[in-house]
Amino acid sequence: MAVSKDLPILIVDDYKTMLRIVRGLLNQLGFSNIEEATDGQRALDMVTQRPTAYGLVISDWNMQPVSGLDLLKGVRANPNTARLPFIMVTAEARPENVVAAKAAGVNNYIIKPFTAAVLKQKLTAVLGEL
Amino acid sequence: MTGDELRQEIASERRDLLNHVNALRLAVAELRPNEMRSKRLPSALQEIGVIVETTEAAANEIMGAVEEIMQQPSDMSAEDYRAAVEERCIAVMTACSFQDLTGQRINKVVELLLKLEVKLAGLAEALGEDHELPEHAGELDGDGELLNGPALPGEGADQSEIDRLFA
Repeated sequence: MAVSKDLPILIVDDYKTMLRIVRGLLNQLGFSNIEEATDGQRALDMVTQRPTAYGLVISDWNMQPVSGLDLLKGVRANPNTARLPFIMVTAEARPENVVAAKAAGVNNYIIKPFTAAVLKQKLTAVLGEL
Repeated sequence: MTGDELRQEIASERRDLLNHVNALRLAVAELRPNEMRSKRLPSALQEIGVIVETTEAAANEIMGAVEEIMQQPSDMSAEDYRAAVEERCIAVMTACSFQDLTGQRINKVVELLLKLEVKLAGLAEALGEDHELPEHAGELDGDGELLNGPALPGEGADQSEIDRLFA
């Protein structure tokens, strides 16, 4: 069964240009129910306050003071959001980063810069057929 | 001044001089000039080089997409034209991600300069120059050590290597 295009998606990045890019690509794929956060703490608050509000989180890693990895750990530590699909989109390309993110429970990992095709591929891998 | 007093004065001056020399040696050592010359500064220069390349590549990608839009044949159907324009717009959009990547690289260079400023301030102080110590750039620990920003060419994993970990 194809994924509903009404799926609420939270995108998190401290670079507003990147938020616009990810939002634009998601729009292009048919997703329009998108919310944004420009730092990990704000995103964690949003997810914690409304644990069933989101069907997917797409987050950058390198943010201060709460990083994408901290956000991921916070999401996984909360029983209400522990299974929330989470994709890391980041320039942190060292193997130790990927291993740490995987250990923390990330569902997929995209290296910046990425193409629309890669984003689509990872969304399909995490959510199912788009 | 008696002979003993003179000897004590000289010994005291000598101790002060030794302390000063030791403080200077420590301040110079703190600068880690060899590491700075052989590793940190070349790495910063490499980051700046990659910034120039990334910006140029993004500009070329954007220009290329715009030129392709402008070169679409005038007898295309509206539907085909729209599809062609949309495809190039997505290329332009993704090319704009250079701003994030170059921003992170610039931040790495700025952090290095800030650390260098702190160390030079320490040296200036040891030399007796009146210099206010700038705030020390915070050292990262724990997961913070994983925050390295974009990897230099040939250093990080590529998407296909990461995909294998999630297969």
